[in-house]
Amino acid sequence: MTSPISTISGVKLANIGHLNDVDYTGWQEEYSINFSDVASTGAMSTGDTVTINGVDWEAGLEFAEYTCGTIEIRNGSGLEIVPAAYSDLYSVNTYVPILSASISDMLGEVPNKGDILCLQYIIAFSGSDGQQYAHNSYEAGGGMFWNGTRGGDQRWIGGRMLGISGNPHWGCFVATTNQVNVSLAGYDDHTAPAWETVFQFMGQSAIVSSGPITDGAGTLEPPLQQVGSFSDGSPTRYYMDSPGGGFVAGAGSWTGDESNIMGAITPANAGIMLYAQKYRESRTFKATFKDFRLFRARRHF
Amino acid sequence: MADDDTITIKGVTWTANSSSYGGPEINSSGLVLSPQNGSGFYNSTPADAPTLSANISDIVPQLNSGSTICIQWTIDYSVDSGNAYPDHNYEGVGVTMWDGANNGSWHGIGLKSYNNDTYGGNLWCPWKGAGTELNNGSQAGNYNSFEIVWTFDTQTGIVSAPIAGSEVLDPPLSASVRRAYIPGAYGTNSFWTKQNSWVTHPDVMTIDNSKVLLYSQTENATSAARGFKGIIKRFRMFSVRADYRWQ
Repeated sequence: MTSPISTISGVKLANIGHLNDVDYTGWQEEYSINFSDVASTGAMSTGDTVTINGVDWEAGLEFAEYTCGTIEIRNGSGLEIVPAAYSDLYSVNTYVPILSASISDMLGEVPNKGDILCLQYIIAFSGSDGQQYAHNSYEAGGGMFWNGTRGGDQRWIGGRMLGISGNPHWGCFVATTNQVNVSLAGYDDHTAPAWETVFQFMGQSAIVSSGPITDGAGTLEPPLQQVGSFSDGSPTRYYMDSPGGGFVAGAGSWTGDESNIMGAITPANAGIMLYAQKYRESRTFKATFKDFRLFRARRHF
Repeated sequence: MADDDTITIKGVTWTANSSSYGGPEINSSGLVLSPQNGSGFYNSTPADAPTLSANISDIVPQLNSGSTICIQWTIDYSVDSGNAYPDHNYEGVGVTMWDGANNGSWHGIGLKSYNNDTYGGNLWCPWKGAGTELNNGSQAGNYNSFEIVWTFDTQTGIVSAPIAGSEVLDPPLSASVRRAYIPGAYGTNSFWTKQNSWVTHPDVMTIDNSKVLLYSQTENATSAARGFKGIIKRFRMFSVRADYRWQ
């Protein structure tokens, strides 16, 4: 060692400093709805909007000339989405009834690309007969972060309950086909009513969680604090980093294109979609959304 | 400095290595790295180059999983004769994040100025350890100021530089004459996992294992003969964090 740092003059070697907590605000609830308290809309048509707490929510029922179901907010009940037979959200298909809104509208500004968002909602299921939860193939309902596009360029990420072959499944799903569905066959309870997706633009990464698996009503907890257990004891939570399939291009490689790391759901196009689907015609299946919340943790850069 | 010598600068302990390849020295010019023949760690161990390193968690002690860090530095180049910038094949100077692995499978995101005859001279070269470079003729230029921005939870990096020749350090992400991105550098990408890969995957840069490594290199005897030196003048780090928790 030839020279201690204290003897150096005029050189800012190792000018080491740090600025912690720049723009630190922690989680902030930015927007919320209790759909049960919203005035009834009657059956909504495609393009109809309902303004809730200052944000316009738009109904979309048609895709490729098919009417995919119905959407209605009923005071005292909630947002009721009834999918038509053969409705489907998968691959290039958007044959589902969707109620959607803009993240920017909920925040009152376009989010920063460093922001981390948390979507939460309570969902209940019912059927005209049989089990009162999603179990027939492919009854489903959930809420997703969404790029606002239908068809081949559609991108979403989030969680849902999905019926497969008579059993309910806890599912996490990133467009257009990348999903994990955990069977709840043999469980005493059959659905997860409280859902959450934490999403960040950089890396298009997400954490999908639910509260406990219960046939009860469910409750929402603060972000990343609600978690139940699968039968093997593992938490009802899955993680996704840098998804491919049109989200993040060239993971692990250098690129000169910023859009490769910010991906398909951008601060400008980010929205929320609430939807339901079913395959069989045999019964009326309905998803009813109750509470909805959006949180943000700022990380501006 | 001899191997494993340490120096404490503003409360942070920095460790020297690879005296046999030149070792680091701090003098009135700055941190002087004089690489000797055969030094370098492209797909090999960082022990094969003169280095000075420190734990990132020591430099920025309050990082959390939502933190984004920014590492900035300036470099001067010195020779006894000829072009001071890296001018002979594989002469170079840089800074990289480093997971501490002393083998050819080290991990880290870095940025260097180094000469590659294949691509026509001195390059501004982003580097992902141990052997993924953004390395082509369009990267040519003589740069003195550099920046790495790194987000732990998504293993995503952004590297930048201001205009060639500038020794200015601007606020994070202000310099954009040169810029490159690396999404999902390590970890489990595009797979749903039950535990977040950046915590559990064995091949990721975490707050606990991440160091900064300041180094120089050359792979020919001519460099040492002409007295090529990399001199790191200024170094600083920033952090921005969001207080959310990954479990």
